[in-house]
Amino acid sequence: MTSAHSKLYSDDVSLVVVIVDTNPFFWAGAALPFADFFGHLIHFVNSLLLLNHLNQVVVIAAGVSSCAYVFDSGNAAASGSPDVAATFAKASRKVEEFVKQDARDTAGNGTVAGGGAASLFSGALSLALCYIQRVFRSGTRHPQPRILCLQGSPDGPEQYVAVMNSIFSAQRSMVPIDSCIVGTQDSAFLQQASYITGGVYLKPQELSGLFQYLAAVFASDLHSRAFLRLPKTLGVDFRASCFCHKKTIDMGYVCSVCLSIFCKYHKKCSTCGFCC
Amino acid sequence: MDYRPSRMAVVAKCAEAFIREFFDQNPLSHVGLVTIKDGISHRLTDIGGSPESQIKALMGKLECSGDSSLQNALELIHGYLNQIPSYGHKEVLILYSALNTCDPGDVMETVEKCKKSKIRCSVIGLAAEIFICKHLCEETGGSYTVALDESHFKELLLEHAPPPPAIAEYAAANLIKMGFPQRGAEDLISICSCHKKIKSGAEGYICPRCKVNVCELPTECRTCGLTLVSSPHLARSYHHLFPVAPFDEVTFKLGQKGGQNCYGCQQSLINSDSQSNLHVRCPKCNQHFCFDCDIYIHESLHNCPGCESQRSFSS
Repeated sequence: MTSAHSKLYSDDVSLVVVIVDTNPFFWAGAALPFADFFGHLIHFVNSLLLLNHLNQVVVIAAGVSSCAYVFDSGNAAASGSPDVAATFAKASRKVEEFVKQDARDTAGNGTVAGGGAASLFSGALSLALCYIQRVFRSGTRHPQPRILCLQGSPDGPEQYVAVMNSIFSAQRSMVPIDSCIVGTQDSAFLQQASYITGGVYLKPQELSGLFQYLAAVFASDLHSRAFLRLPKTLGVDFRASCFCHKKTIDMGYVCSVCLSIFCKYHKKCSTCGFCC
Repeated sequence: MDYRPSRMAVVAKCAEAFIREFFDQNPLSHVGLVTIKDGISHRLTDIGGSPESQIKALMGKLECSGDSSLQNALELIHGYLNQIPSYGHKEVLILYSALNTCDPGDVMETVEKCKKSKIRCSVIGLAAEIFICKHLCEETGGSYTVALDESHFKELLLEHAPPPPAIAEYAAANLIKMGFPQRGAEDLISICSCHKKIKSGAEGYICPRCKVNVCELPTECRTCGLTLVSSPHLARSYHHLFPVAPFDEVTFKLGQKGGQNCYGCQQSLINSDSQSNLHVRCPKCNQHFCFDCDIYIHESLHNCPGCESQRSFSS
């Protein structure tokens, strides 16, 4: 609910941490091929770096079994303006290596169900926030940080607590979380994240024009957002899901010890074992 | 004398910071304010769940005069807290500057009464240590601290914001009925039940039981009495139930291969000046972190990035 405002920031210098969903189960059946999507992303990263010579971009890939840093513009050659081809080549190589390693880890781990597995967004968000804390420690004039999530795969309900912890930490540090959904379903986690931290949530209708959406909506720095009309989400569904059936409920029973939510009255709380 | 501009001003300012931090850490809790003046205790604000009304009262003109009576204050608070249902944890935090207490009766009886009602009393003294305060805190299981200066006072006060661990025998478990309201439709115009003003449906929430419009959450529906919350309010307290394991301190062994960078922020862990290269490691996922990330993870984030970035290998 609170939106970011400038503290001791340089006005229009931004640090954008992009979290990319590289879930092979999703990209195998997606309307837009991963190579095209990656092309759109790299053009967007380059345009961010061209907007201001002090801008920084960090890309983190969220896979099915692991997460890793894939690109950091601070590590690139400090001399001269960023070279589009070099950025593309370096990032592509790292993403390829990451996806291969992730696939090896997934194949080796027998518990991942084929088809429905979610990406490890909670891990990627936590890494992004740790990196942003490092930037905060670097001095008084630092860029304004924000996080952009590009998600396609469905939410993993087992990550709920970790994702909410990351959202509250981002809210405290005043880091907005923007979301761009490249899949078919809306993501309840990212809707809540963008609403609570003051970011923008967007589900583009034409994925072939993804770069246009990214450049028009997500490229502007936080100071300029006050003067722009950005997409507003009308209703974020804050209802809880019951722990027994996982369906969203309007009214439920909450255990006073462990805060588990149930749809029907039970004599004993199944999470903490306390009797009423 | 010591606290500038006056003790009352410093206490009011620190109390405001405490209330904001308290509601941040405990979104479903209620707070009320009571003052002790001229030997009598007054209720400054009702026990409520919204920080704004408490802070407004604190920012108003607060004057000090007369003696302070611990017994009168505790009797008043005991009367209020007795109305709270049993699943609620009852606590009193007294900010005490006097060096004595002038009571109409036996204050030890009041202390026994509070102990029987399971009210946990804590005191933060501004002057010196007083026996009766120490006795009160020891009997009821609270903490007694005395502030040395302004910044120490604020630190001691903010230490009371996170919830204390509950003793298993005293924690009465209840399944409390709560509602999770949704926002109304854009074109629905109705009168909100809290301010009696005309509001569009999209600006307020609709109680799922009686369908009235309420402005903000968490709150209790004025019409049917149902507690209304949203899932982030409950989620804010989940990190107390699933804390991050403390990290072990390690140092690099000679010839050790592997990550030279902190897993969280990618900063180099090799310090060329110092010999030891001391850093930390998570015992569950074995990833290495720097000390700054360690502090951030345990105090603010409550997630270990290494554990979250691994698919768990148990079926």
